[in-house]
Amino acid sequence: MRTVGIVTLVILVVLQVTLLKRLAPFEVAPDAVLTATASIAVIAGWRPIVFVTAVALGIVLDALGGTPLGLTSLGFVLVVLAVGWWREVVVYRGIAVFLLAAGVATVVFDGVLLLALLALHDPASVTGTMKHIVLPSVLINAVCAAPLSKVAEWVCLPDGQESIP
Amino acid sequence: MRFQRPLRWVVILLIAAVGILALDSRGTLDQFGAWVRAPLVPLAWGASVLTDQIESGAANLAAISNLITENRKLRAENARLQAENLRLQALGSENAHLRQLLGFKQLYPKHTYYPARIITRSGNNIDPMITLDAGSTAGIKPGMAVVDGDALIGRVTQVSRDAAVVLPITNPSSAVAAKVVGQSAITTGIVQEEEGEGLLLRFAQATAPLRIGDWVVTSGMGGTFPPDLPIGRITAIQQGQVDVFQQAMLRPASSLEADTIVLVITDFVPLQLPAQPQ
Repeated sequence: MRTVGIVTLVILVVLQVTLLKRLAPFEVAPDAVLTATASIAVIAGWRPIVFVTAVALGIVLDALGGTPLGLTSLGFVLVVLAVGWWREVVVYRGIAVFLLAAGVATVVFDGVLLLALLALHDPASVTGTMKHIVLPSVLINAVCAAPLSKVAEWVCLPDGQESIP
Repeated sequence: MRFQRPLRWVVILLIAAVGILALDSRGTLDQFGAWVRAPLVPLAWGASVLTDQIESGAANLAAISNLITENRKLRAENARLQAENLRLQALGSENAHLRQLLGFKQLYPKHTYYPARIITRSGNNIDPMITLDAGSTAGIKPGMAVVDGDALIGRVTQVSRDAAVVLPITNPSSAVAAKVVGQSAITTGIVQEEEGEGLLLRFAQATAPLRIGDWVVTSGMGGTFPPDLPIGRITAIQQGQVDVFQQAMLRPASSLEADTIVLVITDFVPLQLPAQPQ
C-alpha cells in the first residue's frame, strides 16, 4: 500500500464527516470510506494490512464523527471479511464487482450498526431503516464505487510498483 | 487452506474492535478518542468552512446557468453582479442565522450561551452525531444542552480540549422528557426518534386532548434538559382504541441539517442521580 495512500484515506474520512454529510442527496450521504474499504478488500483480499487498515479507518471515523469508538471498526472488519473472498473466487475484475461489493458492504455495515442500535438503545424500526436509509445508501454507494474503486486501486499499489504483487 | 490464513487476524481484530467498543461505552477511552481526534480537528474545521463555500456556490449555480443565453456583455456584467451577490448572500445568510440565534438568546434570557460551529457529522446514516469546535477550554461540559435559533438540537455527550460531541434528538438513542403546551392540564411524554417515522412524542396519556399544531417543549423532568425549550409541533396523532397511551408525530422546530452555528447552554448542569445500590 502506498504511504501517500494512507494520507488519502484519512482525507477521505475528513471529507466523509464534513463535505459529504452536508451535501447528502436524498438525505442519505454516500459512505465513501466504507465503499473505499470494500474496494480495497476486493483488490487486495484478506491480507492482514487490509484488516488493520479497516480497523484504523473505523477508529478515526468514530473519533472524528462522534460515534462509539470501535463500532465502525467492527463493521469494517466484517465488511472486509464478507467482500474480501471475492478476490480468491471471482476471476472477473470489471467495474460490476466493485459496484456489487459496495452494495454488499453497505448491507453488512448498516446491518451491524442496526444490530448495535437494537442491542444498545431503544428499539429502532428495522423496516423503516431498511426502506429509508439502507436501500438508498446501497444505490448511492454503488454509484460512488465507480470512482472510489479507481482511488482504491491507486492506494493499494505499493510504492514504486506498477501492479499489486 | 487459503481461507484459514487470515482467520487469526480476523479473530484478533474482531476481539479488539469489540473490546474498544466495550471500553468506550464505559468512558475509559475518552482520552484516547480525544487524542485521535485532536490532530484532525483543524483539518475538519477547514473542510467544514470549505463546505460552506461549496454549498453557497452550489445554491447559486442554477441562477448562474440562466445567464448563458444572454449576450457577452450582459453575462460579464451579470457574472460580476453574481459574484457580488454571492458574497452578499453568504453574508446575509450568516447574518440572518446569527440574528436568529440572538433572537433565541433574547427569548430565553435566563440562560447563558456559548456559540459553536458544527465541524463534523457522523460518518454513517443510522447513528447521527455532530461535533462542535468548542471543548473544555470554552467551558463546555458533558450534559449541556445545545440549541439552534429555533429549538433544542441535543446534548453534549463527550468533551475534549477543543471539540465536543453532541447526541442530537434525532438519534434513536436520544430520549427527551417533554410536555405539550397550550392545554389546561399538563400532558407529558418522551420524545424519541423512530427511523422512517421521525420524531415521536410517546407515553402521553390516552385521555390527553392532543391537537395537531400543539407545541411540544422540554419538561425538565429527570433533570437532563432545562425546561421549556421548544422541540417541535404535533403533525399527527396515533391512538388505538384500547391503548393506555397515545403517541404523536412531531415536526422538529430545529433545522439541524442546515445549521452551521449553534448555541451551547453553559449554565445548565444536568442532575446527577445517585447510583442505585448493588
